[in-house]
Amino acid sequence: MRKIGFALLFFLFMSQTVYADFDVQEAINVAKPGDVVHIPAGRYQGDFIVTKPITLQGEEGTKLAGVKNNPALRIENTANVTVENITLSGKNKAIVASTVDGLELRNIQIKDMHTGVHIQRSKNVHIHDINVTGSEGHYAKKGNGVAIFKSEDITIEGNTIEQVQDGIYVEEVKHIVVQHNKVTNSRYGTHFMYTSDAKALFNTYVHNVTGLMIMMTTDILLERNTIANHFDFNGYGMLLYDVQQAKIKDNTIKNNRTGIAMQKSSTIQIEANDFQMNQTAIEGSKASEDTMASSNNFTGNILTARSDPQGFQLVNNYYDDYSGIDLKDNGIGDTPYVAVSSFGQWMVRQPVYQYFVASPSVMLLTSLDQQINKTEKNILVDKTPKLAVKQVSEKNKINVVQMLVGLFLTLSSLWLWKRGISQ
Amino acid sequence: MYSMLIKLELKQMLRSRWMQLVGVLFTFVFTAIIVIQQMALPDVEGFTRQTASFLNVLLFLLPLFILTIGSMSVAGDVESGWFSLLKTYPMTRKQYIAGKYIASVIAFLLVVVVAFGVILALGGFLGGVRLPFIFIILTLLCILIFVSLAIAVGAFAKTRLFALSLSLVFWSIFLLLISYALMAIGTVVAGHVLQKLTIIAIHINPVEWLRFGYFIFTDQASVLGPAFYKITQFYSSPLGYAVYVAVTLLWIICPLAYARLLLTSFSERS
Repeated sequence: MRKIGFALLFFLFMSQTVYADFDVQEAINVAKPGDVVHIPAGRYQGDFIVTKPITLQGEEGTKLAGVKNNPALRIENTANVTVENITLSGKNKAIVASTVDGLELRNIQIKDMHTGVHIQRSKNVHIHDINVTGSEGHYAKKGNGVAIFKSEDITIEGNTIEQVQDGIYVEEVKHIVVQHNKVTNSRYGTHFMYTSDAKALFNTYVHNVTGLMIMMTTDILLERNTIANHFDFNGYGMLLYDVQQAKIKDNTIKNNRTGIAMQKSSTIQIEANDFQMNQTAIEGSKASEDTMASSNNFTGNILTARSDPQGFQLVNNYYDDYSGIDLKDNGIGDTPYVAVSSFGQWMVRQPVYQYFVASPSVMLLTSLDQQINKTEKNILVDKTPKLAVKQVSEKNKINVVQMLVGLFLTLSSLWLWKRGISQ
Repeated sequence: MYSMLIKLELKQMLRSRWMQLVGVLFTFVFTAIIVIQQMALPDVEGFTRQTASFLNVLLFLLPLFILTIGSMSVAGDVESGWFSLLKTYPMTRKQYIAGKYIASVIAFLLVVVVAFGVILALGGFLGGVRLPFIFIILTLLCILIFVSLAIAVGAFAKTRLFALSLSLVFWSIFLLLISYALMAIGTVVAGHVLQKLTIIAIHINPVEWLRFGYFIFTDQASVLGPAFYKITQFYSSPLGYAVYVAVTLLWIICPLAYARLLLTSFSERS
């Protein structure tokens, strides 16, 4: 019996390390441009390289494993390459593509690797429906899910990335569309650096340190993304640093430490977004005069806006803490909404003040501010605050158990009270 | 004799019109804010305006009610001669203070349970409210600490009017003045100095101590900002929890010991 057990264990152990007979590199080498190289199911170890326009097509169970610290698959100096239906594993990078014109990566699984996909000096790249799961550990020891360097005409869509340093890292790229991706539990959801003509649309960023980090970038559109639960130390929904011409539209920005932070940025339009339950909804520091937040909904945020003395414009937004009235009945409040608060300004100047956020003393101070600052004319003042807004979803179903527990507690404590008096 | 005293004190507390009004007021304000906010705002995890309101209502109202009622109860005993009469019974100062403490804690617990009961009942009718466990623990700690402080204030004041004014002074110092003083100091000193002063204030101000505890035990210390990373990391460790419990116990025991000292010296003088 014991022998059989050992034999089974031996078999199981060996099955992890046995590699299929099919020679992947040989198949790539003999393929002619335009051919489809079909890789049967099995585990193949090697330092595979593609230098001609072919399609690498796996099937369920096709796995490529890198050797030592080498990438599992390299694609170099070629055009029109497609890789699909493959699982990659190894220590360092899964796929590295250099100087490729026309690359499609789809249906690829990458797990426990340092970096998922690394693209450099390439154009016309389409990465979709890939799944990258990094290893456990600190972000500093991990690589990025998908990283693009010095490239142009890139589309990254429908990917799921988790537990990496930056979900999607983009550096020195011209014309890129990042859409319908989901990045969770990473450092930054998507990180743009020195990029121009970029779009991030319909993405979901949840539980990262920061959802969207945009630095030294020009001409970017961020639309219809959901950015939630970035409330760690130094966490932001979006952070824009030295960004020119950004349009942030129709996003849902919910439950972040700071919803949107703008630093040293110019011509930023923040339009028709939903800011819900953030500690600070918008923060601006050295933002240009034409930076404007308009037609947004601010609901349940502790601080709506804070800035340095330069401020930014607030126009026609809805604020749930606006207390003005609309005698003209035009949907616009008759008195301006003043978002500026002493505490908010102090927090920008001296971060240690953050300790007091929403403390009893600050709440009282903010209430007084709202009376005093009604004379404020310049910074963080919305002269046309909107009054009507779509309602938060109703919760009107009776919770019978909770109601009965509540009634029991109330009645029994009142009975005890009465008994205490009469005894 | 000892249990008789507790029963008597509890009876007096519960009979007090002031206490009954406080019960109604606390229940009304607490329920209104929590239920309205729960209905108006979306349900999300983390530190939100809703949880901030809950925490602030708790920290604003409960210490105020406990300090005033608790201190006036002790000062009233001294002022009316009831305390001198009690001395003729076979009962020590320690037993008197312990009896007073237990009776006050039970009375305020009843007030809070009524309020929580109404919140749950009304909230349940309107679709359900969240009453996090940590709030219940925090409320209990608030009662335990502030009843102890109230007894010390009452023993020090010895007259009801002085006890009332002294309670208001302490309440405003704990709730507002220490924070405002720190914020004012922060405008003229460096950030790291303000950070250290704030850490000291957390330990010497029971309101800040409870607020800090809320962030630690709900795993939301990041709300306090990166400047407090080290201290929040420490208090989030098992040793930190032990220190938190120890400091909380000190906040309960020290005022009671001080009250005993005051009443003993008063007895000896009179």
